[in-house]
Amino acid sequence: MSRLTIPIGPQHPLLKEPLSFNITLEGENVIDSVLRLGYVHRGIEKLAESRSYIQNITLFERVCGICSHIHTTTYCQAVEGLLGLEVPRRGVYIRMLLCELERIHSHLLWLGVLAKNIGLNTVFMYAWRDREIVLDLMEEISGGRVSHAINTIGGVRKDLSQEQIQKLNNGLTDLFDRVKDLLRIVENDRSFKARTRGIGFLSEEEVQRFCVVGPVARASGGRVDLRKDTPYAHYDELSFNVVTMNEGDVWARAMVRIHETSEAIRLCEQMVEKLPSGEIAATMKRKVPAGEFISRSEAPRGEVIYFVKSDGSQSPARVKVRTPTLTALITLPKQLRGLQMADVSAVVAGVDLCIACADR
Amino acid sequence: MTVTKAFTAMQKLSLTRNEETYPPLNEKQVFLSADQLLPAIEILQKNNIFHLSTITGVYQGQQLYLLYHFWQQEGITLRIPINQPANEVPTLTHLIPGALFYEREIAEMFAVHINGLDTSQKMFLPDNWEGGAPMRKDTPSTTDIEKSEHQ
Repeated sequence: MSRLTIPIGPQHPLLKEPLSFNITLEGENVIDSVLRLGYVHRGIEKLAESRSYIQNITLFERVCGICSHIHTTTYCQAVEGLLGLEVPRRGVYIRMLLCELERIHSHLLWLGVLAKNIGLNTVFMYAWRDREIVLDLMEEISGGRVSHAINTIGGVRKDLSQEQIQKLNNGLTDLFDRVKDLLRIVENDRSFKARTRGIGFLSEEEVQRFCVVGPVARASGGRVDLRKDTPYAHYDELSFNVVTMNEGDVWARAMVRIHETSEAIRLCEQMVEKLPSGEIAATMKRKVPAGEFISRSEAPRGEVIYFVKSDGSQSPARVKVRTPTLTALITLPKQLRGLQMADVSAVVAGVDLCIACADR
Repeated sequence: MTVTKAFTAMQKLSLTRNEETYPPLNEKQVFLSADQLLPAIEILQKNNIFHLSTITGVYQGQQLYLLYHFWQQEGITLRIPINQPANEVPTLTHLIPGALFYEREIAEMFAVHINGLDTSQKMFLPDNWEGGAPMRKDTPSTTDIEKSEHQ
């Protein structure tokens, strides 16, 4: 049978960000796919070396357009580690609160993208309508819907008022019911299951070999969640479950993410309830002592690492950003092989690619 | 626990550590030469440490190091000096397929030769990039982005 190569991207309705992959087809079946990154490579790691520690917060907020807060959190944790700075408990709680709201936001956005890619526009509309609630909550707290600019070295820049807490509680109660509805769709809807079950399969062993992290790994039986395994911030004081499934297909990834959204709402409620009183930020010492620090955190897509090296000067000597998408991308050709062309959109969405993160 | 075991096992391979030249890191680290990298990975995998978080290229003075960050409940970092003129490390992709894009990034940004990996095609930089390795500090690179864009 003759082969046909179809270029997908860098600009393509299937992709929300620029990525290029050439798919080789034999009839309807995918034989091979070749990836090319770099269309949104901004040289952020290089730029960071010429800016001060404080200026870099603004820079790292822009690594990703969805999980912007987790990047500044991880970066600030690293610099605070170098400084030996103790962040006030209230500051850490507000940070964690935004991290979890961001997880809800990211997972709902993802569900919408997946639904749209498999032609279920109603689910897309529902998911994005519900996502609007969490965006409003984040705007209420930080003033920004996507870029929050709330983190600073030593804590956060804005406090929570009693009125805001009330709004937050109301919003979270609403959201919990909405997510229940979405779970019902993902779990039971025939068309949704017909388009997502049994495709994009990754086994537990493959997930381990390809160093895949986050919900994709947890949908294949992986158990790693850095919030539980190496608790950063004050996650050890909160109770939540690590959601895992064993199916390893796109449907399992959807289930994991929806359940994680409910867990994140529960986490937010606990944080609001336990919110400590006191200061929200510690004063940053001007001079960062020489040293190296690795800070890890669990972003909506998995493990994020910031390696910060200080040489004692005004700006960091090196900042390395590790984002979860890069390893998930390696598995993409493997997941696509043997599938029909029509399933490509579901698999690509299922991985939850963040190209801006991968390119930096 | 597994990290501690692997750490002790790798100490035998390790180069002598000069406390003054290396800054402190908040996780365990092992200093190895490039040809000890593969034996070290085998030790790690025997101790069930499979997860490579990332590879960082970092300069200490004029010396370039590659840092292989592994994780299994806690972090462990292998620090490999890139010596001139060899300027190479072996690829890990046959042991850890997930290392592929990290290694390609290192090859592009630091111009380190990854032995056993095809890095002829660009992955992150534009195809017509002529600015050299952007993150490399010992060779003068002309990272004139505009010039490269408008050619």
